[in-house]
Amino acid sequence: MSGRIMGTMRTSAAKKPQYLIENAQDGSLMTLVPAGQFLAGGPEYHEGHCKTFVSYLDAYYLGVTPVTNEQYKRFLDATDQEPPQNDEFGEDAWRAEEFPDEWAQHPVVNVSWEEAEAYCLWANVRLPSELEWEKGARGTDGRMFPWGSHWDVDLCQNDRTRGQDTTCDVWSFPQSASVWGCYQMAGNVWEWCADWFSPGAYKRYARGEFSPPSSGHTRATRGGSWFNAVDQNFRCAYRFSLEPDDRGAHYGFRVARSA
Amino acid sequence: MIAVHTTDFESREAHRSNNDEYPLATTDLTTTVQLSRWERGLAAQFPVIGWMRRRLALRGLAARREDPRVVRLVALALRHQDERTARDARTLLEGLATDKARDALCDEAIRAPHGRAAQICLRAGWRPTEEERECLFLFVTGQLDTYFAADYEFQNLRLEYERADDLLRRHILRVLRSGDRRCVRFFAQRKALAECNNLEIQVALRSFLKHRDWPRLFQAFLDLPLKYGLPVLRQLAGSGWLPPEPETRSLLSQAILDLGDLIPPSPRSAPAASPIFEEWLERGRQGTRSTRPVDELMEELEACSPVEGVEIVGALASRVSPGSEAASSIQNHPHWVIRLAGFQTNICVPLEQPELKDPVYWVERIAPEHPVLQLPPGKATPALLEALASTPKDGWRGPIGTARKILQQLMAYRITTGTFEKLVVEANVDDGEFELMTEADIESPSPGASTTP
Repeated sequence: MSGRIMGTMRTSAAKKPQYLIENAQDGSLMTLVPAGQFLAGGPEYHEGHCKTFVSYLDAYYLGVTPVTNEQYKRFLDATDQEPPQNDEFGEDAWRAEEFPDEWAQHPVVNVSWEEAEAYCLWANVRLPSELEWEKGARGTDGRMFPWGSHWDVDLCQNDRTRGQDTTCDVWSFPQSASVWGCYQMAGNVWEWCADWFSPGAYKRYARGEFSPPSSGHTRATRGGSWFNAVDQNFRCAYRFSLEPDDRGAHYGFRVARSA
Repeated sequence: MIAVHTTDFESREAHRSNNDEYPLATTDLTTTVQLSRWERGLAAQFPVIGWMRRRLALRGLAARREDPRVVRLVALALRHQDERTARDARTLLEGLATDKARDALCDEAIRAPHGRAAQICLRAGWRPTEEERECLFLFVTGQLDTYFAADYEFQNLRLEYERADDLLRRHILRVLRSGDRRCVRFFAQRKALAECNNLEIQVALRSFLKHRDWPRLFQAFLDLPLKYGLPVLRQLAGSGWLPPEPETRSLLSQAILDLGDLIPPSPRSAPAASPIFEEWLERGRQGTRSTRPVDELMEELEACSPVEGVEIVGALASRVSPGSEAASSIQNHPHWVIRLAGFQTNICVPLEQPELKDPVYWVERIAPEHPVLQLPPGKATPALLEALASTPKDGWRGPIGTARKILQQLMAYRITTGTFEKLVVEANVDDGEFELMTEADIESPSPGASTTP
């Protein structure tokens, strides 16, 4: 079964998309995820509790890496937003509006969904939808992890291998880049998605009803983080959610844009 | 006024204006005798009879004004000392309708970039239809922004410069010495054809073909990857031209024989380029890294960010051979953009593989259209030749198999014979030493003077 995600995605027929672009406002590198069908969802409860289904998305760009501290600082410098604040556990990288140099290329954490949205608004991009995120991680063949279908604890930043570290450089683990060239679609930080989280959403998608949830209490997050240790958390189809104003040292985001 | 006297012809032919296929049947009737009579008429100086003869000449010319030879004659009249004659000539030229006639006027403008013919062209926005002439026209008339958008690495201008006579070279050099910093690179040694980008190569090949420059086309066949080389070989085969040296002659003959009726395998549809990626590569080629030792760069490549890595590969592009240890490191680099850079710069050419497999879609999709068609023969090494020779039997069949055979011959020849002279066009800097010219020097000679330099 195939369907078309309705919403903001449009493909320009006149302009042929480039495979790699840099967003001028925030310097995000974005890779093209071509239009087409892909396999989404899965039978596990956290994978949507449905059969793996065929979905279709128009072409879009997805951030090659999560948004970094360095990029987020540009946003703060240009706006009157508050710097990331640590509401939960983990090391707090930011001191006032500064962070140590060695953290420049680490993903920005302790940002709520609302702050991530504000960043996207400033940078002329948007958060990916759940399905966009999943296609960006999973490719078209329904693989379980970005690098294939076998779990390998050494291919992402996770609780079993991180030692004393929390997040890692966004360019780490290049060998586990997704098929479209996106880094760290598994591990390092949970990534905010644009959609409201609805446990039944994927069942609807599997039936061919592709409209995203219009309301909810929490927002979808994907990808697993340095704080997680169980392989299920790192599966491309694994769905998790948080309240939009939640912050944590293992929550970050990456950006998307229609092609 | 001349314009009034020519309206019959104009009205009959007006509906044909802007038609490239304008029939020049009338031109055929314009004999050399007539032309020379009109030329003499324009040059007539007697007070009354001279005016009559000029008027008659212009009337005759007006009726044939779309003939390029006529345009050249009328352009001479633009600078006639009799104002009315000059004005009538201008009116006539401003009404040119066909591309051929306008091209002829643009040629006059090129020869006198500050002259009245140039003013007419600039005012009307006319440019030569031919790509190289257009670049030359833009350049000598000082439309540098437009010129630099249209020409690459002075590709067209250099070709024109080569063919130019002294007067035209002076015009070109005058602009080159005008102080525009973009012009400085003209004096640098020109890139070898194999180092040019796709667009530049296409421009050069088109030009060689147009001018039937078989020696250069042959050199291009020897230097360029077979995706360009096979169509060139087909042209060479059709031309009947053979190089004078026995070795190269037999190489070309054998390649033509192998070519047979092969239709070169078409490359994949070109994916959209990524300007940002090209920018990184270019930064490497041009920046300070381009002069640093290879070993040092390879060491840096181990621990750099992907963007820096692409720049490093750009800096290494002309110095690392396929099949070398450095090439292998790049091809197996964990960052996909670095691997992609290796393929895009032809450092990585996995000839022994029937098809490239890479975990990242864009590397597989963009990198090699087909390695056999991508490899510049100039980058041949014994190791690479060996890799090619070890291709399984099936690899020598079909169109790619034929291409592989031709590539093998070329590579073997390059390795055993040594390097070929690069296709280099150099501007002689000494040519640039000239006296400042007045406008009168630059303008076309007045009627009656010799029209050919």
